[in-house]
Amino acid sequence: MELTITELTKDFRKTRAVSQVNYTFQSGVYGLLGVNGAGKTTLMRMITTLLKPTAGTITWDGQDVVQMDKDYRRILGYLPQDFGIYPDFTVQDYLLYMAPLKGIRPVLAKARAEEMLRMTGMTQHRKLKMKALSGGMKRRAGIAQAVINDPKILILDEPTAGLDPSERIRFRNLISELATDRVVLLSTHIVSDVESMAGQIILMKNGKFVMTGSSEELIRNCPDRGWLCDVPKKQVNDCCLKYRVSSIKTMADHAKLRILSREMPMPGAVLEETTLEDVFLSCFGERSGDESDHGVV
Amino acid sequence: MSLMGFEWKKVVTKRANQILLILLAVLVAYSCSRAVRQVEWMDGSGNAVNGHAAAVKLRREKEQWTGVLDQTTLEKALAHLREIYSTTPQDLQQGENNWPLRSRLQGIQDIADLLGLAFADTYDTFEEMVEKLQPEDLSRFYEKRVEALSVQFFEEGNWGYANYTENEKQYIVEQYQSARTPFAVGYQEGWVQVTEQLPSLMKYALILLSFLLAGIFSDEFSWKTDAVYYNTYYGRTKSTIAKLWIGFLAITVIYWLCVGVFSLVVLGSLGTEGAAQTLQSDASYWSTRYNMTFLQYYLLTVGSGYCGFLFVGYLVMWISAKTRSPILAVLIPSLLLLIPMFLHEIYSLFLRKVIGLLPHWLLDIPQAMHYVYLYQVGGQVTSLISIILPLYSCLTLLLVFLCYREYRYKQIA
Repeated sequence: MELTITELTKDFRKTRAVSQVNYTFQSGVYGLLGVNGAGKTTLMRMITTLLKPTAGTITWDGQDVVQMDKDYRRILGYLPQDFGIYPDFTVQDYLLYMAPLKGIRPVLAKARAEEMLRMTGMTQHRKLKMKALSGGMKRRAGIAQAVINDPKILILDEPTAGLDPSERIRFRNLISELATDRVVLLSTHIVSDVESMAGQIILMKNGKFVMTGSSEELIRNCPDRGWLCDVPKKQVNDCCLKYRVSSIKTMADHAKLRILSREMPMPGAVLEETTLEDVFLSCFGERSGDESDHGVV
Repeated sequence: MSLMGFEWKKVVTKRANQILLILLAVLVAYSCSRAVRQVEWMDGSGNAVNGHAAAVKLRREKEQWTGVLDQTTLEKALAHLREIYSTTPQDLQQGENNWPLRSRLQGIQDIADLLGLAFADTYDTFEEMVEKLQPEDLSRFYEKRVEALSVQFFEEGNWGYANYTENEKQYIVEQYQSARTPFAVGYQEGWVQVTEQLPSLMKYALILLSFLLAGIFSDEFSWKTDAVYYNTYYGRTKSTIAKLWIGFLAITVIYWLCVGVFSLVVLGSLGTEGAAQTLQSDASYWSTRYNMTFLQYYLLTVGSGYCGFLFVGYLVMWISAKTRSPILAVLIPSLLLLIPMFLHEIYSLFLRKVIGLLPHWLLDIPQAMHYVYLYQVGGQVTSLISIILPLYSCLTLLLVFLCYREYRYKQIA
């Protein structure tokens, strides 16, 4: 079970979205981290055959996926970032439709749809029209369709975006359950999600893989460290300009800053344990603030 | 439920499509009422009756003239016309108060019109013809018809037809000569109304249907379901074929329901008599070169309309699959159908021949019957209708293939 991408490149007119990427995915969960425009979605869309690469190849167990055509799509599950729905279908209709569409024989479709409803906790909402579903329920329906064909490759693009904390935890557990004996590639902005789900993490920047490895490996290889500093309130702005500040806690007469730096930034700074968020900030710098909607920095 | 069942469900559960179906029903109801009300009967005092009641009275009036338009019938008709004109006071023959004359002519109006057209070159007015035409002249009725039509055709040459080749001119005259004579005449209002009103119904129904068809492919994009749809096992193959079948089914069901209900109501109300009558027995088809009965004409109109629906339907689907825009998908074919309506004043023969190949003719056979569009294929002169039916049947098949190809290899960025 091996998904290999070789020299994978995608150009859109004058922009290179993905640039000569090489990687081999084996069974397990892979987290793809990167800022907006890093090329994550483009990479995923090439892996799902939605986009043709400009150059390079994608192979599954040595076979070119373009040549495999629908045989490759049979082992594929995909939950896109903008997961669309058929508004007038009920959840059950939707799964009963997706089952034959994904090549499941009609005699098995119903049982498989039932199983997916149970797995995602949607059994009691089966008769609800999809337009009436909440964001979390839509995502659950999305993951149900993605795994209804028991895929060998599961691609999840921002699966937890827009979910409340309890839905996110539920979703994370669900993905962890699904992770056995398949390649799961998920992209997210939420560092804690990747940390809790992914065995391997890929940091993507400007269309390239800049760092790969387990969470521990990335932390170990991060050149920066996290320092906790007590700073007078009036110096906070200067510190923000001078250092990469991952958090600011304002007190009565001073502020506690967490600064990323290779060296001790100021006397009295206390070295703290490096986290994956520090790695992310260290790798992407100021641009990571572009999408700090989930407290990445 | 099969993939086709789900594709059908996508179409019929969409609220906009349900509204479209209601609008289509309203359109059919309006068209039926309009067509039936076109038939008018008037009594001697000028009181008009419309619709089914008028059809009943008119049918009764025309009953005695039903049959073949041979020498005997023509002589009888001429005598009857003379009697009408001689017994109707002069001041009630012309102007707005000519109801008594109009009322008495209703039963024989079709034959009177044909006589007037055949002998128009000899007499200045219809009244003069009725007065002076000799029974022995009537033996030349069909001969005069060919003469009159040939003269009319070559006179039309003054504003654009002059460039017809000798082959084409000969073809036209032969077409006029080959009309089956004597004509069968009689009451045929049901067939006249059903064929004359069908084109309007077809055009508006097709525009409404286009909105429904435009969604079959482009809704996957507007619902943002495309990314999941395209990476499924059958998304690019079997399901695309299911969509094409759904398009075919929607076109077929809606077309035949609209045309069927309309025809049933109009023919049911106005009568089916006259199916075997010669098309040219109605004065408005006097100059047509297509020799057929009213039933054949009706079948040609609905058959050609179906061909037009299929072509425009698949064109809409292809544009929507290509551009992902339902608006554009509806707009382009609608323009294709409506623009030629404004191009009647084009005198260039070449341009007229090009316009003659546009698909709007498929939906407007009654108009196509009147136009002289001739084409030479392999040295053989042929008419517009003989060209557009096979042409658009082939183009429809091509569009089906293009639709499939478009979805088979679509990329989703």
